[in-house]
Amino acid sequence: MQDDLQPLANSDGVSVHSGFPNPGLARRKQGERLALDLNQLLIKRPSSTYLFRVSGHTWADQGVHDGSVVIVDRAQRLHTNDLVIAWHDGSLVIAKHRQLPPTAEPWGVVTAVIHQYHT
Amino acid sequence: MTASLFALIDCDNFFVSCERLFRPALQTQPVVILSSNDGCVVSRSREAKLLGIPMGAPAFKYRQIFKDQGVVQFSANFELYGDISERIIRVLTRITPLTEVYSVDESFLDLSTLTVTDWQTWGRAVRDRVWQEVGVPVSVGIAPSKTLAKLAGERAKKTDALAGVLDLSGPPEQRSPYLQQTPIQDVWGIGRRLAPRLKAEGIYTALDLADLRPRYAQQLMGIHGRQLVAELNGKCCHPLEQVGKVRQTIMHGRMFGEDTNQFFIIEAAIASLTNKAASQLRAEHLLARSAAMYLSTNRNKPGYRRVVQPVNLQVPTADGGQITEQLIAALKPSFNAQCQYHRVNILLHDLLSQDSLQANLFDTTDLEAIQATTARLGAVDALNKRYGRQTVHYAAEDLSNAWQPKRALRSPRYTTNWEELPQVHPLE
Repeated sequence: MQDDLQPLANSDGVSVHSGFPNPGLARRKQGERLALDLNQLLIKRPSSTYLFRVSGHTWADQGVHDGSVVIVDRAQRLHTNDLVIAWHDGSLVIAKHRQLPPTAEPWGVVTAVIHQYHT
Repeated sequence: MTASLFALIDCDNFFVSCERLFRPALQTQPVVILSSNDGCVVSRSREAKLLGIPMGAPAFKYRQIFKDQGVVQFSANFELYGDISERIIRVLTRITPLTEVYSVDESFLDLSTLTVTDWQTWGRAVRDRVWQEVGVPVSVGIAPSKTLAKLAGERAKKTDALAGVLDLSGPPEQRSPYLQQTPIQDVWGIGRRLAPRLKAEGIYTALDLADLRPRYAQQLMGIHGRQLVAELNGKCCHPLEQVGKVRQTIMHGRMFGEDTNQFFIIEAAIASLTNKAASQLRAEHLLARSAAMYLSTNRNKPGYRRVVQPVNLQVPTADGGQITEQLIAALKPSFNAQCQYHRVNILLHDLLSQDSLQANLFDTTDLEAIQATTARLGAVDALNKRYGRQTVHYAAEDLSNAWQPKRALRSPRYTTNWEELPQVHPLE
């Protein structure tokens, strides 16, 4: 019998080989995480967090590059020094809150910037 | 026992609001969302409603109006709407876990466990919170029964002065004017079929209905009518339905990209829709005992034809292949190649849960065969989940796209696809 080599597909689509039990999988079924998850670090409130892609080089000195992904939390309390996404002139722009013209309307606060060097 | 109290949280023109979230310039423009294949209007902004564009309007009849009035059109972007809907549900569930998701844009909350003195203020806070966090507007209706909460939500949405919140938790005389403003066909559970019959009896508004003697209501509409009268008088007959009741039907339908008389295109569509429905069955651990197929020509063209083909599945199953085979075999004799077919729908019904099958031990059922099939299909589902839908599919499921919906005007899947994130430009 080669039963212990039979791949089993479980509901997560993860293939496991029966035989030596993996305690990690059993634990995961109970909703416990083992490895670090970047969502834990970067996204405090999933229901109010949206991602945007930056197009343009103006903010390079602030660490926001062309092609960066910015993480925006609409529920984050706004401070004047925050980098924000705002409605301005019919489009969405990224700017320092204190630099926004009075007609602009803040959309959400940038909580993190992801700039990938290799994809 | 605490008194019953419910809130209905209802999104305003939900699909339009989702589109506006990332396109602020649309905030004041008339916007319509078209159904798959860009056939009919399924959501309208307030501005579009004011232009007299009705719900369900066939897009081709309104092309000129759209053009003249600068109406912005979108194809339905269900990935976006689904994601926004989930966000709203999360926010609501944080307010109270006693949440019933009634539809993609409506949820009932059971408020009987919350201690709040001013429900009007509470309602405004919920509205502000959803707007602040998720970014779409909602209306809030509060009342001692779900039927009244629904009515309050409707009034809150339609009456500007209420600013999106109506609290009907107070004494009955406070409710009367709102009941009187509500035409009978707008009462939850009345619908188009019952409304004419009630009007014939002189019942024109929700207030007329609430004032009926329960026994008379029962004569008119059965037990449902008696419950409606009670609900409209603030007595709760329909508690929160939280834990998923077993689904009764699964329906999938599509219009063909172009009308067709080609059997193989129709066959492919049936296979694909059936497999989609079957994988849904498996995801919910259900089996179907009956299926049906509805094939029709374009209703707006002369010579409208509709073929309805019910199929009794011999063995309860969640195997898309088996169901497809039987549906297609049943269709063959009634297929007419002279017709240009427009739309096909697949219905799976008479559902039962896989567990109950094991408990019942039907004598006609070959349990072992079913279990083997279930395991095989479980593996198919796992592969498709892991490598993308359609990794493993039935040969009959043509991927030629001839019948796939057009969705020419779909907005980016802003929140579900890395390639389609909304763009921001630095402020100059």
